[in-house]
Amino acid sequence: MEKVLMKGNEALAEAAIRAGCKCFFGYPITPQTELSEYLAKQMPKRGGVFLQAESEVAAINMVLGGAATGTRVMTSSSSPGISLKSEGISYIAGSDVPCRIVNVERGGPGLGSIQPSQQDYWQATKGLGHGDFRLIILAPNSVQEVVNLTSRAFDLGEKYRMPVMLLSDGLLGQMMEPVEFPEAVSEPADQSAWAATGTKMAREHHIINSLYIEANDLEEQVVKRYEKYAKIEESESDAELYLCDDAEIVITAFGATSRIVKSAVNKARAEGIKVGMFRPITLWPFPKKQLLDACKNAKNVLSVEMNMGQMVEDVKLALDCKLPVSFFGRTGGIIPTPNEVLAEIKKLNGGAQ
Amino acid sequence: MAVVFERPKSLCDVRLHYCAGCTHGIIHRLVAEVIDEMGIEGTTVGVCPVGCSVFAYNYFNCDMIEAPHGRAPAVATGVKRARPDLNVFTYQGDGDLAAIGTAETVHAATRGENIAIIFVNNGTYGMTGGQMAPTTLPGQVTTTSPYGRNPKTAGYPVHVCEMLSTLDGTALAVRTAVDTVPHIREQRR
Repeated sequence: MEKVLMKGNEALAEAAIRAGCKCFFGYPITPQTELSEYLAKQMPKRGGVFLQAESEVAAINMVLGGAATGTRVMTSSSSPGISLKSEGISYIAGSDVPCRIVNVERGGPGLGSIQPSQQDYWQATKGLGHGDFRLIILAPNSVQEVVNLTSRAFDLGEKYRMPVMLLSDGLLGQMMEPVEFPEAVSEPADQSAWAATGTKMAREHHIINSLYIEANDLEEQVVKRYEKYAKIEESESDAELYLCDDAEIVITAFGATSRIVKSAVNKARAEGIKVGMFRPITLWPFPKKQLLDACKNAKNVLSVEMNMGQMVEDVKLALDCKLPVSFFGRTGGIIPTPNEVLAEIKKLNGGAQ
Repeated sequence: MAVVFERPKSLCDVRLHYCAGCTHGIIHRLVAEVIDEMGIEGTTVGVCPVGCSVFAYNYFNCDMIEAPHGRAPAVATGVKRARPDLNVFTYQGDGDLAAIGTAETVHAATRGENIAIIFVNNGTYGMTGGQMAPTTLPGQVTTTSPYGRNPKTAGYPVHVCEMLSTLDGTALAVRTAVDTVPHIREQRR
């Protein structure tokens, strides 16, 4: 299959169509707009629906309606827009409806900036709306991986009947890389056991709902959902380990930042420093076992992020005080350089040089 | 003995939770009778609001979706766009439709979404115990307008049908009352 040069946002949109996404509901926001524009052009020609909603709030509720029929549905936005969608995401999670949400992160808080950022790690993995619930969060680090994770996002959502978020950022969204689209795409799973598609007078009516007025009923539903989450933690966590086998320093990084960290690791290795990189591909479930494996010879762990230190908390939780964990980050839309990361590695390797 | 009055097939055989004197039961029945007459129960999906009729999903026999407060027209849009073969209706009160969900209502109408919105206006937030609604009349006493709605501080009621009638996408906007038998018969038409 030949490679094409594509922008991350457009590659994501193309991959979604190939993965059987039938409806897209969204609202314009930088830096994800190319994704919407691509789908606005392509969906009508390829048997899909593109609808620009009046608001982020309306868009996520259109996703709820479309997904409730068992159709592959997607929305995308960027940080402030995801905040607006969080009400709907909570309802979608509480109604056990699968869908796919893309966040092309930008700087925050508030209107923040339109430059790349990873400031929504907490929002994505811990605080996306009210109530006890989880989303599966996939964090690609290249345009190719954006494509590869797209059909996986739909498959996981349908397998577990829950929303899945693809956490991209302004860097991945805007950069161009050669990309190959897989020939085989996943088939949508049969959703007829629960979806609202009309009874055809042949079955009991289906109710898509998150309201349980009796406390006991609600507790039962939430506990059942957490049993599902436990299974997901067991079987779906995913990570990349880079040169970790003999690493005395392990750097943890996700998404675009991991590309910068990889360059820094290579530079440090060239100078004989035993350093490796651990990159979670699923941010939830956080790949705890893989991290412990990556750190088996480590003396120090450093988390590098484009924020003020968010994932570092999960790294510390997973390591459970077994190793010292430090943090280096740039924020507000500033991208750290490999040399900055290299300097941090050298500090851990016996002081600055 | 001949049966002269039956429950519409599109309503479930369950006891409704509504207060005595509430007209939701009548309006549920009217909606269900129309679904029966059109023979579309098997292809209908209803969307319920947050408010007194939040449990409508337990009463209508067709597939039902519970929407967040005010978002029913957006949810219905999603259903209809994903599955144009389905008949989609929302059932919403005045707080849901004309306050928190005004944007969703206006934009679903202006896009000409092929859905039916059943708007039940009682001029108050009933479920939370009688607060001022966007349709509360000037001077009307509610728990949050205890001295009567004062237009100088609380504004005027929203005229939903008139507002939606100005939009090119609206196919039909009608308003009727369900307070008397003749009015109920009129509404059913």
